[in-house]
Amino acid sequence: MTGVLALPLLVGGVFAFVSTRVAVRDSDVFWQLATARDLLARGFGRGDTFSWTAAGAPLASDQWLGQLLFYGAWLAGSWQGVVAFRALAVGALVALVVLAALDARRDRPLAAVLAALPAILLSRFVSVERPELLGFACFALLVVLLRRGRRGSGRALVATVPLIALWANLHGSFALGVVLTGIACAEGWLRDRARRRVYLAVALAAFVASLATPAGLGGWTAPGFHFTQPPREIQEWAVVDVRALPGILYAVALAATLALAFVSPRAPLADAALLLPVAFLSLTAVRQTPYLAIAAAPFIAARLPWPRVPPSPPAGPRAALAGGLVALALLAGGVATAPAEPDLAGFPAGALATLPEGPGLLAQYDWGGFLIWYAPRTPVFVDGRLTPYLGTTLGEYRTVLAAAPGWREVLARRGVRWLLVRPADPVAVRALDLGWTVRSRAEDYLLIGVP
Amino acid sequence: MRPVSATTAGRARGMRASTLLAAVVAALAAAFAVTLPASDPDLFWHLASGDWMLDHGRLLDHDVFSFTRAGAPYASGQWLGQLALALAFRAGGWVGIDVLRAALVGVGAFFLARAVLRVQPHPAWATPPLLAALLVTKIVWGDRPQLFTLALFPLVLDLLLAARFDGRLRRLALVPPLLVLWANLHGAFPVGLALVAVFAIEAALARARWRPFALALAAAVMASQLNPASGGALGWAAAYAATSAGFIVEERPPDILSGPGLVFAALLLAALASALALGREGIGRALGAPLLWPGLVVPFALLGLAIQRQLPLACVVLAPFVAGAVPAALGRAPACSPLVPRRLGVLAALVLAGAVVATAALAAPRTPDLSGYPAGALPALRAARGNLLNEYDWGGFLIREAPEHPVFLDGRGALLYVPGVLDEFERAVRLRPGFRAPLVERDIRLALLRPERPLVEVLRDDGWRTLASGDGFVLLERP
Repeated sequence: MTGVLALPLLVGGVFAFVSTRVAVRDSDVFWQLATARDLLARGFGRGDTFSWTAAGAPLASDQWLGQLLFYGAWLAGSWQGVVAFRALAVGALVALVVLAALDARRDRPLAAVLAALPAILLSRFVSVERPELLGFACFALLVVLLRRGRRGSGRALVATVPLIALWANLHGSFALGVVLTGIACAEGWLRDRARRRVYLAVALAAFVASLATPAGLGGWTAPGFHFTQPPREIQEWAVVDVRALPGILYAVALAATLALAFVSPRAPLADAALLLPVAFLSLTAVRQTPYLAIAAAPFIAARLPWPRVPPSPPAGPRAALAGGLVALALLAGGVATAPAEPDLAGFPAGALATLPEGPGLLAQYDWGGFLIWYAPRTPVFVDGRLTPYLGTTLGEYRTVLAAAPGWREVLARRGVRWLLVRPADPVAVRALDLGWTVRSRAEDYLLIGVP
Repeated sequence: MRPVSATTAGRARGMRASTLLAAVVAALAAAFAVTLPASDPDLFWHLASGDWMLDHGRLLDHDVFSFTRAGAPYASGQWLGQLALALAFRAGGWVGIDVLRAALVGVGAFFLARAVLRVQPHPAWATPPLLAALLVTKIVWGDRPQLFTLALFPLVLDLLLAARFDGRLRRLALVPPLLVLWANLHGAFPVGLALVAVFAIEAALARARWRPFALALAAAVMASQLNPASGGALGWAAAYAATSAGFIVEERPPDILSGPGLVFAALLLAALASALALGREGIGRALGAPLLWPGLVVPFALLGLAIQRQLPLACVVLAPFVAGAVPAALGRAPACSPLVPRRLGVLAALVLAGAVVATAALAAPRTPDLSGYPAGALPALRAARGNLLNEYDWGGFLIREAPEHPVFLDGRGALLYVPGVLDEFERAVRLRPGFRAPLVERDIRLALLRPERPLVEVLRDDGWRTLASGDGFVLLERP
């Protein structure tokens, strides 16, 4: 039984190693780390101190554990620690996807890896140093557990409950897990009369487990909002474009799922129960596309046409051990040679020395987290946390950035004294046109004084 | 095997009730379409193009409407569609446009309904996917040559379904002439070729009388070359699909959480659910040709996901499968379409046609809906002189209503203005670095823009005078 882990561990190790080649560079990592640091210092229930536009507003705590884990990695190993933890999560995610596919096609490991490939490649776009990555790994584990539960493993089914409890504290995507567990249990309830109580208990326990967070029922607010009203102006929440690279990979997964559903023998209801809700979710935004590829990997693996060659002999425990050791070696080697500093090429690092302290700065949305971490004495106007700014503040930010009618009134009313923007931003172009003072400039940013 | 809805002998005696139902659907759709006012931003330049061709007695193959691309050669691939629009307008004014739209929507609805009812004769099962697909088609009811694609796509699909499932192979002879027509009416004719190709490949794989389909495909490909651009039309269509992604809303991917996107997603998921439940054998038993359906559903679903204006085509393909497969997946017995006496059918069709004509006479709008256009600026604009910077969406309107002012750009975006002129426009109105350069280089003296454009404030600060302003527009003149 443990032999089946050899290939997933090996593939997971390879992709964990690959992920260590990339430096920390996500625009949200900085505010995530700062939030965890603030949580350790002040506990739950505190108000916002990072911005001057939402100062004192209650902070969301829907991914506190994920933030703490990344911050713990940073404390343990600075930026290399963050890379190491990210690599571990990437490796786990990839290994779980391969494991799910292999569970469905034990005798054809290559077919399983091929079926997992769209998910693995697509997960590259969410392999970021944020709790979101942990959410994807939880989802991949849930797929394994639900499919094993479907095959009769009571332990796998029950294990979904602690998984949901953990997931609900790691990232807001836990809602998908609760919904899928509920649907899977409903399918089991219909199919297996003898275990109806177990299914009912697991479904209820999964929901209750999702409430075991500092926010309680309020933890469902963020996923509900993002599902029904995805903020399209943010790249990862944009509509799925199957002509761009992540969209092409998604299209491959979707097309394979559709085509195999049509040309294969009828599938058990459990497959539909898993695939249909995930397929719908995946259609709603770029960020959701990996879910379908992950969920469909075992489905594709089981139905992928494959040459009739003698099946490979099953791997034993020694193979699993070897796979695990190779994966560990890859991870360790990758981390040892990983970039020790974050890649700040996309951030206005050169402006830090000249930034004024105190309220009054309006900076690019994408740079908010960077400033929270590197310039804590200069609170931000907006940042990647999004929700504190929904409505008025975000609207005002957009008005100013586009130099749209009323932008100067916003600056005056809000008391904005400095603009930290890209040279191509309309407000930068207009400010220069008006002859406003440039305090600091580089190829990719301008710090402009508002007269 | 799938149900046979009527025997050949039976068909000689009467008309399928499903055909009558399709006629009812078509009449309702046409009656609704005829009551909508013309308002599509591209209608006006299509009309102007058609008028130009009628006046000059030759094809319009170079730009005569803008000052930024004046004289530049281009081919829209829809000259016949533009002529049809212009002739409809000359024949009946705006009512003529309303009637042409209603006719094409009616034809499209009829053949969509026929295709759905051919697979699923039971009205209760056929109606939801049919209505869903019809609802989505409404996003392309704008008065443009694309209406011809809306009519021809279901028509060709129905012909192919009739040939594949009912053995009516002679109908395949209609495909090549339809493709000749299509290749001159609208540039989306390659989707028709793709349909024929899917049927031909499936017939070959299934070894099911594949030669007529292969012949139809070869003849259709050759027939589609009979247009002014010849083989270039195919290449042009491919290039258009590749270049027009970003700036035109209808060319972007659909938002699945919007109305049409949600309906499309529902159809797609219903198709996936049915396919999972039935499997290949079940699909073969319930609908026949189990390889045909993935051949249709997968590529057209991806096409719809790529470009939102193609969502209707995806839904037209999905609807028959969903109508046939969902009840089969739920274990419902296949239904047959009863026959109605032919005379009664003809009489009913005449009554329906009369009802549509009456609706057109009573309710077709006599004027277009110009609420989205700067109609209030026209008097001041006509009196002013100089090069005009205008909104992209208003270009066609100005071509028709203010021909004395050649436009900066208009709805012929991918045909004529990409990338140079469109970049200049975006740079100017969005205040990108160097935003004044296009104004200077193009010697812009007038600007007709939406008030919320950042450029408007800049021009006002620069002393440009307001010649006219109103709800949603401002006309400025350089001092």
